Amino acid sequence: MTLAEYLPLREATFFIMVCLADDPKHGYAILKEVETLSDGRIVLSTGTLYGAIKRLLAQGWIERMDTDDTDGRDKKSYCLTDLGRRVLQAESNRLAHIATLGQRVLSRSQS
Amino acid sequence: MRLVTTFIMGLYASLLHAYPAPYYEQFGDEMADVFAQRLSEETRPTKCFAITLREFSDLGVNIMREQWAHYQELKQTNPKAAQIMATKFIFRTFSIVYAAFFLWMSIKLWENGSYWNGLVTLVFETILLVGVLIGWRWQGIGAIVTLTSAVTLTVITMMALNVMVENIIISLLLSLVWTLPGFCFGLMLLMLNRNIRKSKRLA
Repeated sequence: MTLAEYLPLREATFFIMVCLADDPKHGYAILKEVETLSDGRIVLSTGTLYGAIKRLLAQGWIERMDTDDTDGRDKKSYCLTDLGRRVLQAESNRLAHIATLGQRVLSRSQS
Repeated sequence: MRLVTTFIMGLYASLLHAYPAPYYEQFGDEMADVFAQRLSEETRPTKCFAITLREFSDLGVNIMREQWAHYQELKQTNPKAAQIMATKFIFRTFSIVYAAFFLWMSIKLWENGSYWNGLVTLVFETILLVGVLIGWRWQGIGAIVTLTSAVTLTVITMMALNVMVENIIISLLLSLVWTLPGFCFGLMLLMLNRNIRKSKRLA
């Protein structure tokens, strides 16, 4: 399966993957960061988030890891895999291409 | 406020059991943690209410979606388990309708009839409904509770009717009309429990 066949990604999936690109995060941190990155436009419910996480794990785009919380409890964190990073890169390129195309057409029609 | 949020968190954590078992094992605790964190972070009651409303409505949709996905997966890998899952789903749907209808009927009877008779009926009816709901997860225990309370309810109703009708057979038949769904659910749970055990043994 080529990367292009996975695209386009759902907006929520895209944001989840974006916030896992830097470092591993646990569920609550993902929810908060998705909300911040999307300027409060995307507010995921816990059920929707874990539904998406389950699918991303099954596709091998993210992986689960154990991390210690500040209060010493075991917490599960998630991080992007190499495949996930490549998919995210492909989707970002696709979106950038669309945005460039839109801008070009708009500026042409204005001039 | 604190008591209410604790109750909501507990309710949410309990409802997570309605997800397919493998899903619950993988994400159940984490989801309960995230929800609790989200709720405890919020101090405004209106915001808390909004979060709860959205989370619970989304939970219903997500549970249905995950159950369907799990059923499709089982159909491919283990058709017998898929069949049991479908039976469980039918049982659960009917049990909700049954629970709502009979609780409403019991309250109506209590309001309009004798206080003590009505109260005793309501108590056993509630135990029966609890048995049906326990059967959602633990079919064996659910069957015992449901059948025991169905028998008790039949005897109580029969004795109450016998005072008016003065015929034990007619009283028994009339009381069975009232408690028959309880017996059906109890027997259904027993059969389900047996099939699940059999399927586990085969697996």
